[in-house]
Amino acid sequence: MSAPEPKQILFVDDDPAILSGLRVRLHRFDSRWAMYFADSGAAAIDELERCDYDLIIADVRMPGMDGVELLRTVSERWPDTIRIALSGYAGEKQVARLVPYAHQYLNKPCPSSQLEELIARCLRLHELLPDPRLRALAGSVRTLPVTIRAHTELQAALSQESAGIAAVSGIIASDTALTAKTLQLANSEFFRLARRITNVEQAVGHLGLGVMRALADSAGVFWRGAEHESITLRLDELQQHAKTVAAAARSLARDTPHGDDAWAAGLLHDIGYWILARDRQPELLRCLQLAVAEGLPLQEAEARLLGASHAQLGAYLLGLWGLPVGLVEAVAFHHAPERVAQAQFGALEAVAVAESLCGTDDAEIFNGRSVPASGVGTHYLKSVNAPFDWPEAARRVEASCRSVEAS
Amino acid sequence: MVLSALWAAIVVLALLALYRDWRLGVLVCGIAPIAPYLHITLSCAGSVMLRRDLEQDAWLLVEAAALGLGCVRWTLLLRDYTRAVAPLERQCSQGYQEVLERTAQLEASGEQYRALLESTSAVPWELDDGTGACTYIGAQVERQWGWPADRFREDGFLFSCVHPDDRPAFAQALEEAVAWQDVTIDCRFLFASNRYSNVRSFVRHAPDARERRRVRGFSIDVTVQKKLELELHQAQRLESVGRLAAGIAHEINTPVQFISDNCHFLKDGLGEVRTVLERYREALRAVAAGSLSAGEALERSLAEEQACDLGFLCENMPTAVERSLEGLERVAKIVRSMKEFSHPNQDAPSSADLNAAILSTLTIARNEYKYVAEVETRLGDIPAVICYASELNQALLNIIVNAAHAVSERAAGADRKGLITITTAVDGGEVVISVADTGAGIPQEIQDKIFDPFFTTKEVGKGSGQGLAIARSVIVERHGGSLTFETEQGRGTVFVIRLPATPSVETDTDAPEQGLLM
Repeated sequence: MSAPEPKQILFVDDDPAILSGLRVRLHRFDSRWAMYFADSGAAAIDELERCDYDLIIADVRMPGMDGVELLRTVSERWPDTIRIALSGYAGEKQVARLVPYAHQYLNKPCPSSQLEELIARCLRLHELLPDPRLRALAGSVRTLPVTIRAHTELQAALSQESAGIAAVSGIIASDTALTAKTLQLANSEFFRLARRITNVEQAVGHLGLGVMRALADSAGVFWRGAEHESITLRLDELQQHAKTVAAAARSLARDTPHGDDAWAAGLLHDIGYWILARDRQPELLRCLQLAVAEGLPLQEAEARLLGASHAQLGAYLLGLWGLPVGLVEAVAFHHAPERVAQAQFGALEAVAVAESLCGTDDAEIFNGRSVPASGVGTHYLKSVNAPFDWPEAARRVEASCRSVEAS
Repeated sequence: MVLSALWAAIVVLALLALYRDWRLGVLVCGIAPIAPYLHITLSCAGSVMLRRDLEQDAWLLVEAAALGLGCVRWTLLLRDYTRAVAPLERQCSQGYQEVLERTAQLEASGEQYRALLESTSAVPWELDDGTGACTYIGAQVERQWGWPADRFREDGFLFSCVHPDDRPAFAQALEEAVAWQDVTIDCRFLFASNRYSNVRSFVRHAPDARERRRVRGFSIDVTVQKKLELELHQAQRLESVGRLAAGIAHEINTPVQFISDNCHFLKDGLGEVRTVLERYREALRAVAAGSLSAGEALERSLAEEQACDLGFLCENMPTAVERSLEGLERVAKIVRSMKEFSHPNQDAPSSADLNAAILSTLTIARNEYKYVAEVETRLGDIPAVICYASELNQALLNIIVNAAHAVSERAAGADRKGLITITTAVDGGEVVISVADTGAGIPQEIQDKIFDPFFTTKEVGKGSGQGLAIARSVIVERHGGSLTFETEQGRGTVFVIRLPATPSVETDTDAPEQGLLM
C-alpha cells in the first residue's frame, strides 16, 4: 500500500523569522505534509495559483495585502482550502472582520503541539467529506442565513445598553445560524478557553456582549436570510424542527453530562440543509424527487446523487469551524448512529432518538413532499445503555415538543 | 469862573465814580461850559440875588437830573442783574444736587466694584515694591488664604509667603511688571494653614504720580487645576500606553512564537543527535571488540544518520539557536524600551540622551507604523538635554504616531509604504528634532487648530484629540522649547521641536505635600 499523498499546506507571514521557525518546528511532519512558505499576501496568491492547497495558515497583520484580505480572496477563489488565521494580536474589530473568512483562529505564540493538532484535525475532516466540490461548497460558507425574526430581535437587544446576557443568548439559541457562529467563536483559540463550550449562554458570557455587538455590526457575519427563498424546503419549518429536536435531545440527555452537547447537536443537526438550500437548490430538488420516486430516505438519495449526505456536509462545516468533536460526530452520524461504536448515551444518541420520536412531518419542511423517514428503534436504546426505556423517551420527547410549540 | 469849572469837574468825577456812566460825564461837561453864559445872561437880566438863585436852581436841577438818571440806571442795572442771576442760581443748586447724587453713586459703584473684586476667589492686591508692603489687598484674602488682610500691610509679608525656592522667580516677575510688562507667574504660596498651594498671579505695573515702584495683581489658587492638568497628562499617557499595548503584545508575541518553534525543533533535534551518537558509540565498541567490520559500522552509522535526517539537523540547528537569540534580543529590546519610555514619574528634570529616547520610542511605536511606513533616522551629534524624559518621550510618541496615521491615511489602498524621517541636530543653542512624514499634509483650514485640545480629524474612538496638544504643552510649557510645523498639501508635514540645550525647566510643582512646612 502506497503512502497517502502528502497534504499541501501554505504558511504566510511577513516575518521571515516566523516562517523559518515554523519550518524547523514542523520538519518532522515532512513526510505527511508538503509545506510551503510565503512572506506576503501577494506571494501567497502566486503560490495558490501554482498548485492546490489543502490548508492555508496566514498571519493577520501584514503590510500590503493583510491576512483578512488574503483569506477573503482564498475563500472566493479556492473555497475548498481550509483557512486558519494565526495572529499576534487582534482586537474585537479585527476578530469581527476575520470571522467570515477564517475557519479557525490561533494566537501567537501558540503552545507546543497545538498547531500540529489543529492542522491534523482539519485535514482529518477530509475523510468526512471526500468530494472536493462539496468541501468547496462548505468552505465557501461564511455564515448561514439567520431567520428574520431572530435577526431583528438580536439587533434590538444588542442596541440596548442594558442588554443582558440571558436575553441575548435566548435569542441566539432560537436560531441555528446564530448558534453555530457563536459556538464557533467561543470555541476558537482566539478566546483562549480551556474547555469546549456547547452552551450558548456560557458562550455569550465568555465572549462578552462587546464582541457580540462587534459581530452584529460587522457585515457578513450575521447574514439576514430571506424567509422563503427556497423552493425545496422552508427554512422556518426547518428551524422549528431543529428547535424541537434540540429540546427533546436535551431532555433525553438530562441525566448525563452531555445535556448541552445534545441540545447544540439537536439544533445544528440539519445545518447541512441550510447550505444545500442556499447554494444547491437544483441538486437538492433532484434528491427529493429521487427519494420520493424510489422510496429512499432522503440522506441516501443525497449520498447517491451528491456523494455525501446533508449530515456529512453539515458536520464538515462545523468541523471546519472548530466545534467540539462530539458535536461534529453527532451531526455527521445522526442518521446512522450504529456506525459509531458507543458504550454510553451521549449527544449523538440523544439526537438520533429525539429525531426518531419527535414526529416532525417532513412534508411541512419539504414543501409538501413526503419522503420516507428513517430512524432508530427500541433495540437501539438498549444497545447504547440508555438510562431509560422507549416509552419514557417518548414521554420526554412529547413533553419537550409541546413546550417548544407553546413558546 | 475857575471855581465853577473846578466845581463842575468835581461833580463830573463824582458822578462818574458814582454811576460809572460816561453819558453823565458828557452831560455835566456839556452843562459846565454853558454855566458861565447862563451867569452872564442872568446877570444881565436880573439882580444878583436872582442870578444866584437861578444859578443854584440850575445846579440843583442838574444834580436832581443826575440823581434821577442814576436812580433809573441803578434800577435798570438791578433788574438786569436779577434777571441774569436767577438761572445761574438755579443751575448752581441743580449742580449741587447733582454733585450730591454723583457722590452717592460713586460711593455705591465703588462699593459695588469693591464687592465685585472681593467676592471672587482671585485675590486683588497692590504692592509697593519698594517696601514690600501691600497698599491694598482684597478682603477675601482671609477667606481664601487664611491670612488677615492687615498682615499684608506689613513690609515684606507677601514676599515671605512665597516658597523660598520660588522667590527669585517671583522677584523677577515683579521686576518685569515694574518694567511695564504683563506677567503671569505660578509659585507656591504659604497659606495660614501652614500648607503651600499653587498660586497663579497676573501682575502689571500700577502707574503712580510719585514714581513709586508699584504693581497690581490678581492671585488665584490653582492647586486643583494643576492637579487636574497632571491627571489629564497621566490619563493621556495611559490612553496611549493602552493603545500601544496591543501593538506591543504583537511585537512580543511574534518573537516568542519563533523562539518557541526553534526551541521545540532544537529539543527534538538534540534527542535525535544523541541517538545517533549512541549508535556511533555502539558501532565503535563493536568494532573495537572485533564483532563488526569498519565498513559495516560506517554503513550502519550512515543509515542511522539518514533515518533522523542528520543533514537537515546539522544545517538548521545552529541557525535555530541564532534565530532564538535574535528573538530574545528583540523581546529584550522591547521590554527595555518600554522601561526607558515610561521612566518612573520624575519630580526633577534630569539629563537625557534624546537620540536614545527617539530610538526607544520608535521601538515602542513600531507596530503603529511598520505596516504603513519606513522610518529613517538621521541622528546627529547632540548634547544631553536636561528634561523630564518620560514627558518628552510622550510628546515624541504622540508626534510619531501622528505621522504614522498621516502616512497610513495616504497609504491606504496603495502598495507603497510611506516614509517617516526623524532628524536631530544642534542649531545655535538649541537641539532640533524634526519628524517629517510623506502624508497628505494638513489642510489649510485646520492648520490653526491642530494643537487645540480635543481637536481630532480621526474617527471616534481612534484618538482623543489630545496628542498634539499634550506634545505642545510638554515642549513649550514644561521645557521652554517650541513646536512648529510646515506642511505642503500632498507632500507631507514636518514637525519641528526646538529645545534649549540647557533649558530652564519649570520647577515641578506637582506635589504640594512636599512643600509642607516642618
